[in-house]
Amino acid sequence: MKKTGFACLFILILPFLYGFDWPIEEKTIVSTFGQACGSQFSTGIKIGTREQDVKPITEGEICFYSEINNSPHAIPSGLGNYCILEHQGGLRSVYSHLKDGSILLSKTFFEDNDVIGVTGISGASYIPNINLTVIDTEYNQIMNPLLLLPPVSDANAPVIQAVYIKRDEGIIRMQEQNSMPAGHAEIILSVYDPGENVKYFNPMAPFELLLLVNGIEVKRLIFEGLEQQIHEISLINSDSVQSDELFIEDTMMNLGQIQLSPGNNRIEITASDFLGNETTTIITILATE
Amino acid sequence: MKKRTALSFIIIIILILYIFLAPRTIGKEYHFSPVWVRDLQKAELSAFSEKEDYIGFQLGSIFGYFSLDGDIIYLNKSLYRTALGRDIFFNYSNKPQNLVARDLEGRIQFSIDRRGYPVILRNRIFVISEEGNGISEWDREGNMLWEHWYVSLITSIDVNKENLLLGFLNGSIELIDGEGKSIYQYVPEHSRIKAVYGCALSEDSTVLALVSGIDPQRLTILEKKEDTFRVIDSRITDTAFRRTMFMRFIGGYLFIEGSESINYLEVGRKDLYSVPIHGGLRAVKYDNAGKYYIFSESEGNTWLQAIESPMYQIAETKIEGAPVFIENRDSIIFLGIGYKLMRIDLLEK
Repeated sequence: MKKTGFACLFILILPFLYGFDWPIEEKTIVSTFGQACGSQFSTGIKIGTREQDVKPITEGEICFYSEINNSPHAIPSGLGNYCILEHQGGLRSVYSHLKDGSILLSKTFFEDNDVIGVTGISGASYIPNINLTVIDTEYNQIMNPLLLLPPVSDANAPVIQAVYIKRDEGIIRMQEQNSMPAGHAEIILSVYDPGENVKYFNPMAPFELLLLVNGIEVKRLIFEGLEQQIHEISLINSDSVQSDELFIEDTMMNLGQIQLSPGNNRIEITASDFLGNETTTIITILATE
Repeated sequence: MKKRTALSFIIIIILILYIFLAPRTIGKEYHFSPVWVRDLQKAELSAFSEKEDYIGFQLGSIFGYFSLDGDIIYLNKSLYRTALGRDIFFNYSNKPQNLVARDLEGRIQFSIDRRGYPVILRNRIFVISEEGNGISEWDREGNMLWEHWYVSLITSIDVNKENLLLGFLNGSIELIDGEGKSIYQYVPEHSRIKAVYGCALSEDSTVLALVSGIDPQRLTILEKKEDTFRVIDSRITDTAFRRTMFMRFIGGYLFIEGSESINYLEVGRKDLYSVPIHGGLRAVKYDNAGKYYIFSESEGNTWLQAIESPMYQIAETKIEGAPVFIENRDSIIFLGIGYKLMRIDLLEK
């Protein structure tokens, strides 16, 4: 716990210690940190919708690269062509989906304005963009890159499409007023963040989810970092929740179990994006004996 | 004058004695001989036979299987990449959602319900996660045997029949058994930049090797003694790889990619030997009879060198075009260049 506290403090002061900047000119986020990526949390953010130069988020040295057409001993993955820079303070940044042959291998150290490569569609990508992942090697954690990068405008709050209750008898979509027997129930949420400047519908995960039952905090999930526990990955500071516990589908999340006490139960769910735009949904369940 | 005559006489006698008493056999002379070439753009399909040994290949966007005699039994367009085994293959897209295993005639055998990238190594099926930080193993009915996730990217991998060795971006390695249990983890001595660029696992899982770090880059060899592994060799290399490099235990030697060379050593002995190669190393193959085939690429051409234990070069040839596909069955070599497949045999002169 103490270690996690230090890590959070470290993350908060990092942007002030080193000047971080966006790796591409077009700051359009097309997928967010922590959203479902197959059976796991996404470890980075996807940025950009067109071909453009990629620059380091801050100066750093290339510590690893892989080119799909020119690395006969490389391991296949969805990263495509990628390179990894090591920065001061134990941070590493991963730039993937780069255009074939665009990684500049003639140099090993990159200043802030040097070009590393060009956005591309290599690996698991359909439009020219990059997937940016930031690894904190000191604490062996993956960070949400938005914690480091200068904020960009986003006026759109996350959208809560529906709230469901899952019990032995099945899944029921909740209305504003509901009635059901008292006891345990699982809260399932259909939620996405539309983001800003996205030309097509691409539901992304919000940055924070808060669940209150009768005014008491039951669950708070913050997509700020991932840590490894033996051979699993979980969200930092969020009850160590794992991807397969949280995601039912890309935009369907299981917030866990609550206790419905006899009488009225006020359930308040708030979804926030990284800039603090938030949406709150309140439902009331009359629990019968 | 007499002295000079006597000295000349002694020298001649020594030379004659040397010639007769210290001869060194030159050994057999070999050369590479092309046996057949198949142009895939004009290829006709042959019938599949259970008795034949077929080899999978991918050249550009075309993949398929052929026999040792060059009969092509399957050809198809790859969706993105392929994982080709001896009896099954996966043809997958750039963002695969569901991996379908097919036999060599293209019939569906089973599917793997996982988003990821399949790899068939030593007849074992692994799936690497989309972001390169997870790996799972699957059986031949599509059931997951185990799955591991990491904060660090997987940078290198080697496998034998029972175990799996992974190298990571964070500079560590992990040995995993067939049930997914972690047997051993190791972090090598400190370098300015920590990362594993290559790892190798011996056939009996008693020796592990890795190349790691920058400033310095280091070769470390560990041997199992009693219940744990101990470092038996750690040396600084003259390389500075920042990508996955080649290292494998092949036929009793550990082969390690060098800078325009392939290095090898006998485990337990300190001497590291080197064979110069032409440009970038592409593959090392073994014929199970003491001969090694080294494939390299230089200026868009393929170089093939044969070396014989104890490691002297016995043949070399240059083939026009960059190698796309390399395989062997004992001393028979198969190369894919452009859209052409060829068989090359090593023959005695």
